[in-house]
Amino acid sequence: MTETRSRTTLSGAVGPKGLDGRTEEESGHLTANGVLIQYNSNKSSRTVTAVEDCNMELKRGEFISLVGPSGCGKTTFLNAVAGFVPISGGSLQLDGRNIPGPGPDRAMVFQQPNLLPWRTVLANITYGLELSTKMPKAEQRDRAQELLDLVGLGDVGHQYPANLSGGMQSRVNLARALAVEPELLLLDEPFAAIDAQTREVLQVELLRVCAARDVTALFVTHDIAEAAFLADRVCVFSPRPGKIVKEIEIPWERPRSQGLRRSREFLEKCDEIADVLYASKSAAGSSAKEEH
Amino acid sequence: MTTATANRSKDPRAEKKASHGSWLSEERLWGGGAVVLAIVTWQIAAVVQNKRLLLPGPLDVLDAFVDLFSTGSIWIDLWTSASEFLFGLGLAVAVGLPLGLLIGWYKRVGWALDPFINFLYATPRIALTPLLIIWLGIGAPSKVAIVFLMALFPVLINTAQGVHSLDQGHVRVAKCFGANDLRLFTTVALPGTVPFIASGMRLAVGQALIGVFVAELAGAQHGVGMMMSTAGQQFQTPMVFAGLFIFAFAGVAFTIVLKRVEQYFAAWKPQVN
Repeated sequence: MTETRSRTTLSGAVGPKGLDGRTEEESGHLTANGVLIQYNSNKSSRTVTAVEDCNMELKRGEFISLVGPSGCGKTTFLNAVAGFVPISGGSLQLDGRNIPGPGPDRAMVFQQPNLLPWRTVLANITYGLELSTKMPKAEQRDRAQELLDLVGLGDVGHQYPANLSGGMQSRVNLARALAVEPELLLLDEPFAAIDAQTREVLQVELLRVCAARDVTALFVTHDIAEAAFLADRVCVFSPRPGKIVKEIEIPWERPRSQGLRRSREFLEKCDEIADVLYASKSAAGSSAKEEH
Repeated sequence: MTTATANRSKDPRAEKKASHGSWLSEERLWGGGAVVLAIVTWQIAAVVQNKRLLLPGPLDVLDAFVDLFSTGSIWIDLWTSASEFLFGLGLAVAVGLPLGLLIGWYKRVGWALDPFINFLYATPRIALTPLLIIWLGIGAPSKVAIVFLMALFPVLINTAQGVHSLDQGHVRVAKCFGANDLRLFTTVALPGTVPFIASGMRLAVGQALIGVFVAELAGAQHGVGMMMSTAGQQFQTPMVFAGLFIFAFAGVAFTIVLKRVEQYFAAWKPQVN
């Protein structure tokens, strides 16, 4: 039932919605057009629709946050961009080409730092370069050291990850992803497992690093304030099957400072996002009841 | 607090050394003291009993050692046993390591070989000794085969286990950077499995020593096990003890070496102190 419905939406899909006339300036770096992601559930051997009719456009140098209730398919969408999950319909293109399998042009930062424990911090950062380039070793190390300095951990290069705190590991994780100079940085709740204070520090750091390197980023989170603080635009997902119900512009220039969080305007933005989020949640709740 | 932060900045390998650093630590003092006490007690018991045939004292055993080495008869036994042990163990590693990696890496290979491994692992493999002697004769090949069978499974099973319990997060990272299967194997699977392989080998040493002894008991021309068996039949009890200690020392020495190797490769493991 779900399948036929989504198919019809698909055929009728008409490109990305004109985002405040931005489309005219340049075509998107990453474009999602009526993306449908389905998979077969192992338990019930039923087709589950995770993402349905998802449209978005990400320009070079832009930072977009995806926010939504847990289980809404935002991470699945990110995995599709990373190339881990195939899409079942619509189109998902990076610079006009369909997404192939996983590749170093789309580096991913996971919630768990996943540093290789048998490699030193420096060797962890060069790991992506070793796998994806033929860069000479010395050059790899130079670049790794440069990034380590950038994330503020210049002097721990020779240590093993087990000796680092969670926040430090998270910084190394970011440096590793940036080392391959990705076209697109994908972040899947990278700070979710980190204490609130460190998280706020890391958010400012992330913005600083992104500005320094002119990074294009797609950031998944369930934290409204985090989404708003980091992004140029916040895309709000509806509950499963997830689709983007609204895009909200965050007007402040990046990088941003901690002070912004406490400002009235910022809190109002957060409220605006929350309103959309909870409205879509309750709408989905009532429609689910109707179906029964 | 300050010491903790100071330790942080140090290399973990250096840290490990520091904790085992001085030769005369309290730990060693207690251990050494207990050993000396045990030997003295043993000597006293032997003197009180005064039946060398039943319970020779440590001094009698020492005499036996001197005997063995001064006549030089021990060398051929030592050489025979050592070569059986090393060949069997080497073969077990040479076969068990790649096979274990295959089983862990390709789950279909694992499924196919699982029944055989379970069967052989559950059987007391030492019970295959008579069969192997029928097939391979009384000489070195049957001994090596028994040692091999004993040592194979700890290596094989540990290695497969190591590959199995790989952190899927690490696999995802490698894939995300575009690693192919070979690179995934060499950069994630293999280094992640090394600690498992090392502990598998440590277990294999013990099993291999059992293999050497039992194989020689079942019939042999030379070997430390054979020497013990002959000495036992002639009621040369101190000689039996001497053989026992040779086995024990070999086991302890290999275990220490392999523990070092294990520690070296696992320097990255979080320290639990």
